[in-house]
Amino acid sequence: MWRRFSVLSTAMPLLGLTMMADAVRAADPPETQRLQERIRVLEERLDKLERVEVIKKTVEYICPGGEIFDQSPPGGRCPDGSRPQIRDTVRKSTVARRESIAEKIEAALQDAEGKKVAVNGAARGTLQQVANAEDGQNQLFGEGSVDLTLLYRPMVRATLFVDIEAIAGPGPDKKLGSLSRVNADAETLGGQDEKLTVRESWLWLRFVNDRLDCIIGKLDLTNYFERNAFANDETTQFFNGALVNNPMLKQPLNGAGVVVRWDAGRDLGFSLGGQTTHDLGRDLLSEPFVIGEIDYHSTRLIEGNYRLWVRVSSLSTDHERHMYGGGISIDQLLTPQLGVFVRAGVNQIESISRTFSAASAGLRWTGPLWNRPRDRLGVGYSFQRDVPGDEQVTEVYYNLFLTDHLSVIGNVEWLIHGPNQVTGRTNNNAVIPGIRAVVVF
Amino acid sequence: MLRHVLTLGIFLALVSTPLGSARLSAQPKTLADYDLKALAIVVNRDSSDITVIDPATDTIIKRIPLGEYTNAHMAMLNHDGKKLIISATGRDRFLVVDLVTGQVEHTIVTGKAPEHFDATPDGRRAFVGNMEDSTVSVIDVHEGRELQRITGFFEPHGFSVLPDGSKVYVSSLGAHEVAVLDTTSGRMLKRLAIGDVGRVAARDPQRYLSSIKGIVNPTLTKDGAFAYAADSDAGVVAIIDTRTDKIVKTLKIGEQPWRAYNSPDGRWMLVPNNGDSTVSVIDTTSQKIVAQLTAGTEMTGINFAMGGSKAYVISRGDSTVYVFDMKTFGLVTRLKIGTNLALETAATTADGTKIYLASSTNDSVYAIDARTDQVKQIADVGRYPWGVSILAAASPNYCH
Repeated sequence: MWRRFSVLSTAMPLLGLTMMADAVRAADPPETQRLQERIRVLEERLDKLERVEVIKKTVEYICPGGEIFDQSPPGGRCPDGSRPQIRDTVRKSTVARRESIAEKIEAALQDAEGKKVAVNGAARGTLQQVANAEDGQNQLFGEGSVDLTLLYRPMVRATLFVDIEAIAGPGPDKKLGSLSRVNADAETLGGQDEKLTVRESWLWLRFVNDRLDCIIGKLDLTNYFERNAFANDETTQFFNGALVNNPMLKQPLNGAGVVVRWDAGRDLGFSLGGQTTHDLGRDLLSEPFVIGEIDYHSTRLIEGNYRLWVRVSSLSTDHERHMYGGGISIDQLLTPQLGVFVRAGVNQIESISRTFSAASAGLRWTGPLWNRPRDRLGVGYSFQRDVPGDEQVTEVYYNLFLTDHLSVIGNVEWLIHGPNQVTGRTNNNAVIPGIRAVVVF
Repeated sequence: MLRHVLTLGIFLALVSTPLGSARLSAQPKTLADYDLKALAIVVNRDSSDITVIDPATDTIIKRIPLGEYTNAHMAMLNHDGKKLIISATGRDRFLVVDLVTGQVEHTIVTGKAPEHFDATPDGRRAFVGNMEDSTVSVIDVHEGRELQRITGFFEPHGFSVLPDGSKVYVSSLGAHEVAVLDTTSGRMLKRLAIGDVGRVAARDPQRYLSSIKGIVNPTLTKDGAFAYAADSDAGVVAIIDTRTDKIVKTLKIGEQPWRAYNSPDGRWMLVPNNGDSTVSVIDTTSQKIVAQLTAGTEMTGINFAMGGSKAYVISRGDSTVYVFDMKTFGLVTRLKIGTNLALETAATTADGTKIYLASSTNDSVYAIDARTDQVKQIADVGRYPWGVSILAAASPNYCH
């Protein structure tokens, strides 16, 4: 009985399939054709669901009369012999593409990311001890600062940048009054003990196939002129002001200005900048600080940068008296790890026959210790001759790289000789060891 | 006796004649009894059929099914006045339908999503824009086959064949150019750049790189000497000399111009600007903008009526038709058709006295009497009526 049931249970589905197949075979041809046609129609409609639109930027060559060529016309000339106008355009096309949900999510996230304002920042804490100076000057100085930067791209080839800085704690120059300023970071305090300020706020525009840059707003001109790859950043490199910028640059405090840079090709660039020397709210155009620079980036043997600059400005204490200056700034890698720098400059003040000057030189060694390839060691020396007198200073720093966001920098400055602008006396062999912790976020 | 018989016979003949006529007139009237060129042809996208309206009575006289998923986009009576030619967007086909019998005579495979087209004056060839694969199908309407599929377009949207049938102008909605094709060989003679958007796209990529609103239609002047191509993103109208195929003038116009519409007398080109809700009036003789009219939002077309003395500007955004006097350029009246309607495109009857306007969302066509500006609704014409065409139209307006 069970066996008979088992045979039946196996045979019944087979019988059913056989009957279905017979039914399909027996279906009249028009019905089969109708079903096949319906399947085909549905398949065509499925194909439509997979289509996506793509917008592409492209270059077109336009001849007089409006004729378009996708590539330069034969011989680079239009049919009438004229040169075509080359311009960007956009075109849309529809493509069949199966986009996975992961791709869609990624695209949506990228889209959202692109619309966001990028917020970055850095926090620095610094301790500096003055040693071996005159009595009353051997003190510990603490300084802390936070930079908050906002970056937004309102359109392609345009960047809006805002840097808000909070800083507190005077540097050792409150006592030492050095010419070179032993804590370049504290210089932004401008004599105050604490300050919250918009350091920079500018719009950067790019034109002519990205060859012409224009930066307008509240600027720090040292970001665009007299730069140096190894001695230009008080956050991660030397701390002494004379090893951050050329003392003969005599740049004013950050203010309203404009910088234009033309990339002439072949690693050659020309820059021109202007900035008010007064506070905002006063006359913006009288006695501006004007500077021009030629820069050349060498890649022949190993990378190096060469800059020559000249500037016209006025004395901060007497805007009627002009100052004329010029200088060079060179940084050159000797090996992939070892680079040297030299900078020099002169300054001539109207109605003073004496010419003032400054020079500095040094090296930077990347990965000086075994198994610490991202650490940096820097050694620098600066000489400066200015109105209050001559000054020599040497600095050594070691940047201990801990993570991508945290580094600790130890440095020692040796103020060999120089005037003390606070006491009116002289600083001799003052040693200022310091330590900085820098967090970047 | 013979006299009595003759008298009776004459009497019976006289009596029976009107009776016979009455019996004949009671028979159902077929489409063959109408002047086909004067009939209003309505394309219903969602019900995939065609509705034929008699302008004399404003009644639906026939509905022609086109097949499941056809979703026709455009239909017009071929220039022979007998065959309907239809782009079946949903099925990637081009159809040739006998209007009288309603039979689909040819089903021609095209590129992806055919929408707008134009035919040569002899009715032999049609040029159809396949929006999704950016090709143009050249159709032999008589033989019912695709002769060529031409590439090199970017959403080919608008088509205008010259009156002599020698060339067809094809505008790309997904780019800023108009192509010129030789109708005999199908060869692309030229591509003409209309608007320059590279710079504005760099300034505002979110607007210009997320979508492109290029050239909706190249509109020919009555004599075919010039083609007017409005570039929506660039906000310009380029005037193309069709003899040399060169742009002879580019007019800065309003924001987001739609396309140009020419008046029956050939004197004016009207361009609705959807970005600022204005209509620019261009004098075709001086090729200058002579007036800027204030109209509605989301304008989908302009029809002229009464010999071109009145212009009817269709505003989908306002569900309103703005009527302008073309002598004074003054606003005559605003015809509020309804609320939240999607007014599409319209056609003007041959005598210029009536306009038939499709309203997709309420499955209706509105008949506007241009003499009185009275509006009459013709309901239930089919699902989602998209446009109306009349072969002998005094003012056609299809493309949108």
